[in-house]
Amino acid sequence: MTKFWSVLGAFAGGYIFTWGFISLMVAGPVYAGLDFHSAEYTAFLLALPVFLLTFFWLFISRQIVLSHTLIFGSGALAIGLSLWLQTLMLNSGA
Amino acid sequence: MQFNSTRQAMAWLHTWLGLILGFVLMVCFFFGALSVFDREIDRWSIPETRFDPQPMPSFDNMLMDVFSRIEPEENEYKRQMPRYHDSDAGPMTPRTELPADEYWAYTTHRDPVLRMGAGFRVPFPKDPESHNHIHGEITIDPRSGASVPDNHLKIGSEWFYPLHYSLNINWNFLGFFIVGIAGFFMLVALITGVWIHRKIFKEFFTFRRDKSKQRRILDMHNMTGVVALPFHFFFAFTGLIIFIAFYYMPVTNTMLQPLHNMHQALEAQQQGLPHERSGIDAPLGSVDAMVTEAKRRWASRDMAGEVGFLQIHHVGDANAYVSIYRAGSDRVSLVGEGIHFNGVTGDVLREDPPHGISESIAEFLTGLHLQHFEHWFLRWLYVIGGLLGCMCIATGFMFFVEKRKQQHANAGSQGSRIVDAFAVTTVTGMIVATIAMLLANRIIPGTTEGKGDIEKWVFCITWALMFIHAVVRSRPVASARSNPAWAAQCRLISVLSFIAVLANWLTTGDHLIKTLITDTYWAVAGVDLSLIASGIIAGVVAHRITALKPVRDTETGEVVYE
Repeated sequence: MTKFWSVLGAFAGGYIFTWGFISLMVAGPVYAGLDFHSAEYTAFLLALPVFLLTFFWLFISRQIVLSHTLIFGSGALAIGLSLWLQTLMLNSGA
Repeated sequence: MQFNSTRQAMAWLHTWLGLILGFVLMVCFFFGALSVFDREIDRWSIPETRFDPQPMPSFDNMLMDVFSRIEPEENEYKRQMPRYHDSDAGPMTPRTELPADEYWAYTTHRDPVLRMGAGFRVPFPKDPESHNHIHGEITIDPRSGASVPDNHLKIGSEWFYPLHYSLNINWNFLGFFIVGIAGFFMLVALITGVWIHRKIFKEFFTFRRDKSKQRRILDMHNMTGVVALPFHFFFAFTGLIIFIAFYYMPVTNTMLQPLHNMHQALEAQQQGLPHERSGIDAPLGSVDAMVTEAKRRWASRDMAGEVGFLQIHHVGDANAYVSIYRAGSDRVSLVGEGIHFNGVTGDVLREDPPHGISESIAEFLTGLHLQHFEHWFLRWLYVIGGLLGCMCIATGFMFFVEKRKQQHANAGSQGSRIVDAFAVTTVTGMIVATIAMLLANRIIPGTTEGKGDIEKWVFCITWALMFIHAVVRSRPVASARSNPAWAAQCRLISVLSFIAVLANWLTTGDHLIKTLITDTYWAVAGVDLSLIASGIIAGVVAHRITALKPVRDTETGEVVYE
């Protein structure tokens, strides 16, 4: 059963990290002046390799608490950052 | 990590995720392989549409009249109208009186028939900013404009094709998510498979038929996995890429929606395409003249071709515009080189510019998966790749059972029996259900009310019966012997395949001598020949399984087959 939770944890961690990765890969470059759709396509093309790498790393990691904290934390941080950038852009209208 | 080594962890992932999600992946690979010829299966299942593919007909002389015949779909009206309509603002418009706002027509180089549709506006909407459309569709014979009866199910493109990406479970997009998760773990299974089988090049060429049954199955599993490894990988990858932005990780349609909307409005401004209706009525100009101009512009860019998709926005309004896209059957990338015209004056408003690098890569990957290109040999390679994927998954199930059934029998466990019953259901049961559906299609008269729905029920009920049969006959597996359901269902596949070919001949007059020689029609001949090939293979397999005699190994005491 613990193996099942390891898979679930790695999948959830990978998903949240990738969600944060996509959002930051869109909001960041758009804030820097890149075209929205180019940023969007680039982010989605890279999303699956990122998801796979994160999943595998979390699943085989021996330092479970550290690796999960790092991945869940950085995913949440990326989401927060991209939301902040979005607010900045919406307020400036650019 | 609860494993002694990374390799052990990878082997565990490969075995258990492969087993659990393999049942879903089997459906995706099998119906994905059939979808390569979905239009041809449509021709087989709707005999009235057995004629050559046609180019987009004249809009001014034919399509405009057909569009005016399209009505909003009754079920969608009942379901969506109360959600879109604001009853405080005004009365609800009856279904057949909804005004059209959008028209589209779509065809490919493999379609004799033309699919057309309309989006109808909802007056007094709750949220005027939203896409408040009730839709209606029609399929016509482009030679005459006559409708193809809507009780006929396009079995290839409307049942088998969506099965491979949504399992036809549309409730809250549940099927899409199940397939998405299975697709992700398919990639995981491929990577872990390569990781645990270090001698990958050697396994490409290894099949030891003189070894034990378990060894032979594993060799076959490895060989079919390795020989089409790039195919398996890119299909799982590109399949996920197609839906990732819409269903699996809709970041820009949820969390970053405000940013997305802001850029969409800016883009519309830059493109010069009217985002909204003006509210002023205006007649539509000659769309045929626009098509001629679009073709001239494509030819000047050395991309001559037919129209694949045509769309009219803001129908009947002064802001109407017409978007015309190429049928891009001469390239892999799914691009339409769209040209947009003012719907009233016919002036060109915009030509889609070449896309950037990442968009081009995404279009290439999407095109590679959806194969709109004209290349029959490559199509067959896709089918072979898909079937190799099925073989890889099926032998994976068999290896799982073979490896454990003696151990489970000794321990009195039912584990192998359960897995084997599911394996029979997803391997042979699925094929029986598919052929039963095709057979039902030929037996049920074309005039029967709800013919398509009956065919769907035949498919589902047959599959359920195959599951019950597989479970009921699986008792020997609990004693480490083989499940007789494998051979029985193979025999059924064989018999049904030949009856389906015969039924096609008797109900349409299209026998193989006619479709192959005297009046060649490859779509129908291809389906018939595939059915015959399936029938022969299934018959041979059934015979060979039945010929195997169980004997007890004198040294190990295990049941083996000779």
